[in-house]
Amino acid sequence: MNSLRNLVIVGGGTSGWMTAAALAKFLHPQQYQITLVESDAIGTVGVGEATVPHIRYFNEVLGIDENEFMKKTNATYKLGIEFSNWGKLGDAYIHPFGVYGQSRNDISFHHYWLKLQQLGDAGSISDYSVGVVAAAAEKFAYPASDPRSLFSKYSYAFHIDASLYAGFLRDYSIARGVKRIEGKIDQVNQRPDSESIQSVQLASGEILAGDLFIDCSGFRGLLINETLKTGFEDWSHWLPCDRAIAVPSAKTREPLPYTKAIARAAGWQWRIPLQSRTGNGQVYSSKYISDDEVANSLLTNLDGEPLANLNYLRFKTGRRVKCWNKNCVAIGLSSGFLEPLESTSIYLIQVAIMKLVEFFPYADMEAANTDEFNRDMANEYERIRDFLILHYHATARDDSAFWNYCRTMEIPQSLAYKMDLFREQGHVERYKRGMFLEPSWVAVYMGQGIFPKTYHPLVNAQEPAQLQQQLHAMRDTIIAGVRAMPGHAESIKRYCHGDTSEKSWPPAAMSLYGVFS
Amino acid sequence: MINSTDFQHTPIKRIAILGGGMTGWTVAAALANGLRGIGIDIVLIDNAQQTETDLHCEATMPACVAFHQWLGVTEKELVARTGASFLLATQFNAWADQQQQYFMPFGDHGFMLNRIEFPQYVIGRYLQGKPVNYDDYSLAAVAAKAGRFCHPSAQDTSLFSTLSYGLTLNTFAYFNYLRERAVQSGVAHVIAEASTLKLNSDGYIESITLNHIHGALANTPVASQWIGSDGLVAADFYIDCTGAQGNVIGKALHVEWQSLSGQLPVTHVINHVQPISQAQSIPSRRELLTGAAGWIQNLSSQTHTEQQYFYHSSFTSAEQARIAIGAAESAQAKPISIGRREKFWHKNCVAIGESAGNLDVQGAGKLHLVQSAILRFISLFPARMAADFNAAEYNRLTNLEYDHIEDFHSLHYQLAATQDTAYWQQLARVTLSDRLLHKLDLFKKRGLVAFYEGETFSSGVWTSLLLGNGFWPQRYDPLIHSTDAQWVELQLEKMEKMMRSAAEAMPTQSAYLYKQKFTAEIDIRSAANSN
Repeated sequence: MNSLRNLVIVGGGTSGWMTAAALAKFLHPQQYQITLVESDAIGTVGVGEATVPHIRYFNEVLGIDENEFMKKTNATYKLGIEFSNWGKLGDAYIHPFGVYGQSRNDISFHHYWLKLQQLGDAGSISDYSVGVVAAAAEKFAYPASDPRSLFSKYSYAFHIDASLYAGFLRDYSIARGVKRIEGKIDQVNQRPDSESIQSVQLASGEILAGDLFIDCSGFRGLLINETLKTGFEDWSHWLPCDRAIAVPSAKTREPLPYTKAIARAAGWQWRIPLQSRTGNGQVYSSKYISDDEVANSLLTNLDGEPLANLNYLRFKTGRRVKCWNKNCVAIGLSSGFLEPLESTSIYLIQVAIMKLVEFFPYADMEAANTDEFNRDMANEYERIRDFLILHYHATARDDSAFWNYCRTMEIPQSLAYKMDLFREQGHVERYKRGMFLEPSWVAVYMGQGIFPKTYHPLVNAQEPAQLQQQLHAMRDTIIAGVRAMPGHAESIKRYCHGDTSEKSWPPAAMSLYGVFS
Repeated sequence: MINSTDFQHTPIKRIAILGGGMTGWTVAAALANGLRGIGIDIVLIDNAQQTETDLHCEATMPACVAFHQWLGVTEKELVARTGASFLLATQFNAWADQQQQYFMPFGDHGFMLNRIEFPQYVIGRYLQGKPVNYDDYSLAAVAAKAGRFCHPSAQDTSLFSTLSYGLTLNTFAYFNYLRERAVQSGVAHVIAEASTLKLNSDGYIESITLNHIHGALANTPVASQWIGSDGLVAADFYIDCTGAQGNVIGKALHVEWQSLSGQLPVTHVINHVQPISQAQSIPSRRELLTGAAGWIQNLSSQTHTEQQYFYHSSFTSAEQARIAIGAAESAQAKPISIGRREKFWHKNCVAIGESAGNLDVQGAGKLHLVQSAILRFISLFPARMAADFNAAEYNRLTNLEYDHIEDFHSLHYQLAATQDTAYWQQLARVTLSDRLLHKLDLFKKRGLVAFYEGETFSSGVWTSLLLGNGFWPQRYDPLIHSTDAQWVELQLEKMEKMMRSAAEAMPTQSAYLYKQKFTAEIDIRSAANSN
């Protein structure tokens, strides 16, 4: 029935090996031949990488032991991201993988918190997030399994060494029949009639023919861009950072259970704690600052000795107009680029893989099927785009030309609408598909100084004194519960280096906020 | 005159609902419950001419179960007091062809195998030329076919936990029941004719003048609280439940009506109600069948059956339509205006019910849309009457909901457009939305249901509509071949057997109602008859 048979993945790295591993898991080895071609001469971008909780679902589906995964990838746990200096200089807040408090009477918690604030209670909304409180206290415990518990309403991800993850998945894939070919691609051959891709030719002269090609070649997009000339939607007027410099540094303290994102004069700096070292880097806009200035700033701000030379990266923010074009599916950086401010790179790889499996094609690449995949992926990109732009735009900073630009730039209509809606009465636009739901929007809005004019009037149905008492009790429960949690380093030691014969970790979900939220 | 800016920024303290009936009283009972504890007073003003008219029976979707729970209504009491029956599925007869019969259950068919959705395996079987009866894989469909019913099990390992159900209501008894509750929770009821609306300079409603105030109200607390000199009622927010005429949203605020009569072509409905005798069994399905110039819905509550013929007056006369369903000569056809308002929330007015839109009722009925509108309104309920962005969000979400329901309904016509009367031949030429065309294309090519935000119907329901009408895909998920074909065969056989024996273990609806003491209190029969 016109089935396809040969799949060729172009490029190793995180996206290539995640794709290979998932396809090896889902495709019957007698029906499909999966080949991955990668060149030892081409480096991958993989630095220290921060993830979101969805990666646990990917691992679960592949049947990967979480504790072994952590050991193999030098991983630490991650409960959220701390943003410093974004709303204004000196500010800091944590965007947790979890919800704030508990909704009551169908009204979300932040409305009650706003009322409490109006009553003169000065506490932060972060005090009502288990994820934030645990992160700040450098604790880590698995979420509770009782869905009624406050301690079930958060989730966790990891900081990993992405190149180790790629290696781990390479072993997984090869053990399941994926054929790995080392070599540099010299030439891409198209079919004369339909312009789709027929084969790739290696420097060695070897020709790899395929029915479906998966472009995991990174920024350059060897197939999707250089060969098929698929257009690119440029978003750099909204997200003007276009370069990054990365460097690992020596470990100086126990790793934090969260990522740091520190805003700088013309961009921001990440700090990703792994078990044995720290990943660092600055993302910046070359229009506003020179490479040298950033390099200096990066090195000055390291908290340990640099362990390698500086790695200079260039990119353009935006997305491929079609992630899937003809018989080529772009997965990873070849499909678009959004800076790693909210750790979405691996998530975007993962959803593309899951959608490729869901919309798995026949050899003729039926258009309706490809269109639906592209429509879905475009939506995923745009949801994240708006959320990232919010980080830059919701600021009072006027200390540099870069921040003046971001503060005053015109933003997408879809984001302006969401912000207006929130300002009016704290309502967050809801959707079923795409990342970042109400708790995340609330975290960034309030963390960066965007507050509603008023709260939902139904909040007033509760007596102020009673509300105050209940919220204080909730805060105390969280403090006490977090105090009882083991430290982050202790949890790593226990789960990752202890007796791992037993499955200790909780079930995973395609959610940022926990299995039960 | 009040300064208009101050007026618009006053907290909402008084709400006036215009129009009673099923819509008005559902809104009244729901707002009285949903907005309790924040000092809001509610009045409902109705008279016979300014209220949406209801047919005798109304079918709801499973969302009504959660709605009633939220409302604090005990289902057992509701069912017994109003003579409602339980509904598991819709049976379609003679849409795609004369012999066709299939069930559209609430809920999905079969179970996912090896992480691939169940319909893919059925499509695979069909394309291999093997016999397939899709209904056999749905417990709700098999049970509905045999007139059986039981409540879903709370134990999620039980097959019965996969059931979901709606209700078939006697509308008159239902809104009487809700009216009682609403009045008990403090909603004031004024029988009067609403006449002139006074707007301020920014177009917000300041007050409304009442005529022909019901005599019994004179000197009552309700009158003194709500009705000023000259019959003036001043509220902060107005809910228009006056039906298609849209007395407030349309006539006073001039929000336009967008007619869809070209797309969803029925112009009238005529109905025929008959009481059910004690000996008759009560079905757990509703039935939709095609007529020469439209389609017919058969509904059964515990006490009555009703045939409703939705037809187009260019293709049949009221008399022919009446005869087609065997209704009495006195039966009156009611005009239907298919369409929707350009906006649903405008200034300090929200239109709910037929004043907001009338989208046909094959899939989502009127009451479902009313309930969904109320929950949306409460979630966006504004602290001040001027709330432009909450209003915009309400309108955006309502438009999304309506768009997809329109698509769902027009698909019914489209798939049936093989009938040979002039009416159905004309339907075959109706243009479909791009959304629906893409949905049909993807389903045809791969058996997958395209996703849109804000849809009322799940992919499972879309799939049963498409497959039930013989709209089989040309291909299925190629990855089903990664699983051993014999094992899949065995699983399908097992599922079929499971559904059959589970349905056989269920009581008939009549026996269930009797045993569980859900049976209608006897006075419903006569009370409901008066409608």
